[in-house]
Amino acid sequence: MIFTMDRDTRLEKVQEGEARLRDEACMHLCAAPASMTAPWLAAAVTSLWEIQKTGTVEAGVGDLRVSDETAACVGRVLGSIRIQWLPTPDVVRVSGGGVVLRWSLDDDEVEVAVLPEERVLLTTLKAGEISESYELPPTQYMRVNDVLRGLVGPS
Amino acid sequence: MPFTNDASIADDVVLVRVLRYASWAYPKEQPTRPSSVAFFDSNGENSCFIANEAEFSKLADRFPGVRYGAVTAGQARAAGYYVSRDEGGAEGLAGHVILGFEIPDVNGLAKYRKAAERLAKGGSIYVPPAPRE
Repeated sequence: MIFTMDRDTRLEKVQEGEARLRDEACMHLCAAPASMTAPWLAAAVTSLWEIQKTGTVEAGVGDLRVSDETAACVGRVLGSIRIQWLPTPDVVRVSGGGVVLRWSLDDDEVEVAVLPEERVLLTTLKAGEISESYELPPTQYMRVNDVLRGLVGPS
Repeated sequence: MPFTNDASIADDVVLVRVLRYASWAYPKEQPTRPSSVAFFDSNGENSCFIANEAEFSKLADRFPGVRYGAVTAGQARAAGYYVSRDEGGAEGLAGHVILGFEIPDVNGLAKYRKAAERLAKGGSIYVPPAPRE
């Protein structure tokens, strides 16, 4: 009988724990900015995760690993975007540990290159020609929103 | 030791870059040239091979199914890159060179990005000669 009670208690605790996690997740989601629930963001984060878990050093190509720090920096750039509906970006690995995010719509492209040591470059292209390209310090990641709004128009 | 431009590699020498991922070729559907990201190594040191020295059978063993992007040494230099031999850098693969870009302190990444774009646009997809029977 004591065993049964113990087991029931444990089960209750597990259920309580699961419920709490679920509630916390729901609260987090409700409190999150719109962009956290965006389909493009989920796809981008999944691609980033796949890139990070697969890279190795390949002689003849380069160092294809993406460090935790660089992935976190990509996450901060993505997290600064407050636009829910965007095309799904290409998430491209560059050798030397960098990641390029690229949104394309017709002839227009917006590209954010995140290189190690938190070097971030924002580039816009029109019909394959670079229109603008400038580095973004960490305090200015929100500027990506302005450029992406220019890509998709007012929402 | 830092890499420096190797003037003995003539401007008309063809250099190939292993396009390790489909996204390193452009356009995605039917690639005709390398993408700029192929020449945008984060450290400014892009691994390439001199086409007429490279052992493509060994490259194919190491990187099955990949495409190769080609540019000439002259195109690379015109875009602002240097070309430097690095025979030991590819673990036994012959003809290895570094196609390098010295990233300036001021607005350097933007300059590097533009150089990569220029270089990639002048490039092509390289088809290695068929192996001898």
